Amino acid sequence: MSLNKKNEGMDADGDGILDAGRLVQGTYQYTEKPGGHLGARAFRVGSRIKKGKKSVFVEGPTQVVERDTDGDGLFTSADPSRIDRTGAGTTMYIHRGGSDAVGTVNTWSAGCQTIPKNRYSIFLSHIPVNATFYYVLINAGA
Amino acid sequence: MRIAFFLTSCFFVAMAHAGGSAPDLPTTCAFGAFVNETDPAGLNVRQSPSATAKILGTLPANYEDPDSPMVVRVELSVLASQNGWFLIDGASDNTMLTEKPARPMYAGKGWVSGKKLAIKTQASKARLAPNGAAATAFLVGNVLDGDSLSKPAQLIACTGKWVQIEYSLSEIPKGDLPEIKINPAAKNGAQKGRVRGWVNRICATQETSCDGLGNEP
Repeated sequence: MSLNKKNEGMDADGDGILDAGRLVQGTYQYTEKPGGHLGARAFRVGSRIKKGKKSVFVEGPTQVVERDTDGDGLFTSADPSRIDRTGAGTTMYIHRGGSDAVGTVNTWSAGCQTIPKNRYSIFLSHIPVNATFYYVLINAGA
Repeated sequence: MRIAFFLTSCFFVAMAHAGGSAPDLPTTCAFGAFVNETDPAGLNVRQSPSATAKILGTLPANYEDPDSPMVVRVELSVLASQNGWFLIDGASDNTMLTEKPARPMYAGKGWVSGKKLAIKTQASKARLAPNGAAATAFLVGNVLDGDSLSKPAQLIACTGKWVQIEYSLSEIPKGDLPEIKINPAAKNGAQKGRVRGWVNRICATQETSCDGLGNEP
């Protein structure tokens, strides 16, 4: 999900301000995202079915996100109407992000799950092409 | 006001080039796109929608990351289209992705060919007309998502938040062609081996997906 000025965003609480969102904790089924992302493999909620010799992508369910509706830069229970069950669609991908070997880390995304690009090849080496896998997201601060 | 004057000026230039015949009028639109230029000399930005119009400046070629297969394109806003040309503004490098200082480039208004522009869309369908009720031209979502759409597509026209693309079928593995369910009408007006369709839900962000577009009806 975009962090920058081009963010389409979602005005979840109707105050006229686009609210950043992030994936809520839970268990998600991801699979290879058709087309990848920025020249690398990436993953999207869904699964794959066999059609003859082919493996065909089937989109997963809509993802629930929480939003920083008061715009203070923090995701907290004080954000009114913070749970958005429809606005994100299935856009919370897993993809490559900025390096974490630098002083100021930029993950490239607020809501997507990103792996630092300097570690991405290791991450990919554990996931066979076109595999479907479960991704468990926990909120360690909760 | 400046935009209106610019469009009017370009309209008269186009009239002169057409020898007085009635040309298509520019249609206004508003979306973000990327430059898809591999020529190291860059892409010319012109004063009017013509390959012979005065060159106002250039936009640099795609940035290729030396450490990965990542290609980063110049980003810009599109304001209008006419005869396969697009009025652009605000071109800039995505320095967060390149991790390099921004390259010098022309950042003002001007026209570029749609053959050198690319978009990302989160639409699930390309349609035969720029509205959500129009018949499906071909499916986008499951096979032609994001990067795979932006590479081989060229832009034909735009209106509002809709963009007409022409997509090369040669980029799609033959086995996947049935999956995108091409409407025969999508071949109308397109070059051989290509199909045309209108998409919305444009995501003008290279580094990630766009949130907030919701589910498509």
